[in-house]
Amino acid sequence: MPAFRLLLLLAVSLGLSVFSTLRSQGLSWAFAPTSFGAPSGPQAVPKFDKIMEYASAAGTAHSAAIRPLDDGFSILWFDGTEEAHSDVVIKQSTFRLVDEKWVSSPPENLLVKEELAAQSVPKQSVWTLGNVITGADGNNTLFATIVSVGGWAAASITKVGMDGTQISDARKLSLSPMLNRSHLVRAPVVPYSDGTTAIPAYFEMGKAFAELIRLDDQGRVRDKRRITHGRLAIQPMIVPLDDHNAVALMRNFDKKSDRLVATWTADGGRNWTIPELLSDIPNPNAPVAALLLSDGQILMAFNDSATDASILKLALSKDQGKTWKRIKTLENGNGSARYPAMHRLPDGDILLTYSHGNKRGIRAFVFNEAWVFAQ
Amino acid sequence: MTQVYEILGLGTVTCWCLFQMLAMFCETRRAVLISVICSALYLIVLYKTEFVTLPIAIFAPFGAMLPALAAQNMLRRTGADLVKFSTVEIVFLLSVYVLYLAASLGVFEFDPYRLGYSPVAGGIVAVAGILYFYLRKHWLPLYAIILGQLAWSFDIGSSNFFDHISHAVLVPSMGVILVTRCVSLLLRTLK
Repeated sequence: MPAFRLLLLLAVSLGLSVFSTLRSQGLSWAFAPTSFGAPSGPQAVPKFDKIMEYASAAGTAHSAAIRPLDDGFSILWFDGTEEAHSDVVIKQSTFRLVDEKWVSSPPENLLVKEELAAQSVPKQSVWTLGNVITGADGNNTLFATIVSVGGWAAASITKVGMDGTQISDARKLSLSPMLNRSHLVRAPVVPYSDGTTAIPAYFEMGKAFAELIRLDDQGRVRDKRRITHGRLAIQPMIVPLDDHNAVALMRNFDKKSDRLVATWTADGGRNWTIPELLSDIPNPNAPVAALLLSDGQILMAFNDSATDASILKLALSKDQGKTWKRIKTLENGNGSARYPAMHRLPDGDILLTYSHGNKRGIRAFVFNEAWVFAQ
Repeated sequence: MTQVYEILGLGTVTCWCLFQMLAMFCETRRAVLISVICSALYLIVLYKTEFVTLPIAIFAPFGAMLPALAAQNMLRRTGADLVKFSTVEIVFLLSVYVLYLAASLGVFEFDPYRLGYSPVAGGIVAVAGILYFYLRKHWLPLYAIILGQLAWSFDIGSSNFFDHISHAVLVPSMGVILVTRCVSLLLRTLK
C-alpha cells in the first residue's frame, strides 16, 4: 500500500475526529438549582395523606418510581407473577388533582416486553423487565432495566422514548465492553444546569460498583464516572446539595458489612470521595430514597435494620448525610417495605412510594415539609 | 442505519461460524459460497424471529472489527494475499484486551472504557491503530477502524468508539487460536 494511501486514511481519521469533536456537546458539571422556598401559606399546615394502596393480582408489585406529568404524576412499578419472570410488565397509575385531592386512574400497562423488543434499535429479544426510572423531562423518556438472557447481572439499560403511553423508540445505552451487560437503574436522574441529565446506575457483575452516566441532550452516553471503587455498593441515590456538591447514598452489597454506604462529590460528580459506611444507619442490602428540604436538611426514607427490611423510617440529616435523626416510623414488621422513591411535586409537597408486604403491593403518601418539621 | 450496521455484523460472524464447520468437510471456496448464501437466507427469512433478535440482544454491538477479522480469516483461507496475525501479536493484543476488560469491569480503579466516549481519546486510538495495522500490513482491520470511526461519528451503533473496534468474543477467539497453534507446534516437535 503506497504511503499516500496511508496519509489519506490518516487524513480521513483526523477529519472524523475533528467532526466528532465539533459535534459533541460540552457537558456542564454544575447541578441544576435545587432550592425551594420555606413552607408558607397552605404549605405551613402539616399534611400527611395516603393516596395509594395497591395489591398486585399477579402476585408481585415492586420497585416503584415516580413520573412527573404536566397535570399530575404517575407511579410506575414492575408487576408480574414474580420478579424476573417473563410475564413482568411495567404498570402505571396516574394521579390528578381533583378538588384538592389526588385521584388515581386504574393501573394500566405502560411497558410490555414484546412492544419494547419490537421498537428497539436494533430489534432484539427482551426476556423480562426490571427497575424503571423517568428522564428529567418526565413525560417522554424512561430508562428501563431489561434482561434478554440470564439474570440481573446480565441486564442492560434501555432508553425508551414515550409518546403518551406508546413507545416511540428504544435504544440500549452503551455502558460496558462485556457485551454491554450488567448495568441497571434504580434512583431518579440527576439534572444538570445545561439541561442534560445523569443517570445514577450500577454495575452488578462481580465487583459491583455505582456509576454516574452523563447523557447529552439526545440521550446518548457521553461520559461516565465511577462513584464507588473498592466497596460493593449499588443503587446510588444522589442528592445534589448545591451547584457542585452532592451526596450519594448507596445500598450495601457486601455481606461483610451491614451499614449504609455514602460518598460525596465537590465537583459536580466528576470525582467522589472514598466510600464510607454510615455507622448509625444499618442497611439490610436495600436502597434508600432521599431529597433536599428547603432548609438544607436531607430527608431520607430507609430500612432501619441490618437484617429486617420490614422496618421503614424517615430520617433527617443536617450535615450533608453524615449523621441522621430518625423522625418517623412508616412500616414496622408487616412484611418487607422496600425500594422507596421520593419526589417533590410542583406545589412543594413530597410524594413517597414503596413496595410493601414482601413485594406484593405499592403504597404511596403525599406530605409536606411542615409535617416533616413537626415530627 | 444502526439496524443495518448490527445486522451486517451478525451476518458476517454467522457466515464465519458456518464456514468454520463447512470447511472441515468441503473445499474452502465452496464452503465460503455456501456460508454466504446460508447467512443471507438466515437474515432475510428469520429477520423478525428470535433466531435473529436473540443473538442481536446477546452479542450486539458487533462493531466493525469483529466482522472484519472474521472476513479476513475466511478470505485468507481462500488464498487471498492477507497477512496472518503472528503468535506474538496475538499474545500482545490478547493481554492488552484482557487488561482493558478487567479494568472496565471494576478490577482496577481506572476505567479505560470511559475514554471511548471522548472524540479526542477515540481519535488518538484510531490513529494509533491505523499506523499499527499499516506497518503490520493488516489491511482489513485497518479499514475496520475507519469504518468504525465513521459509524461512531454519525451515531450509528454504540456511542463508545471502543465498541466499534473491539468485541468481548475476541478473547475466546484469540485463546482458541493460541491453543491451536501451541498444539500444532507440539505435534510438529514430537514428530
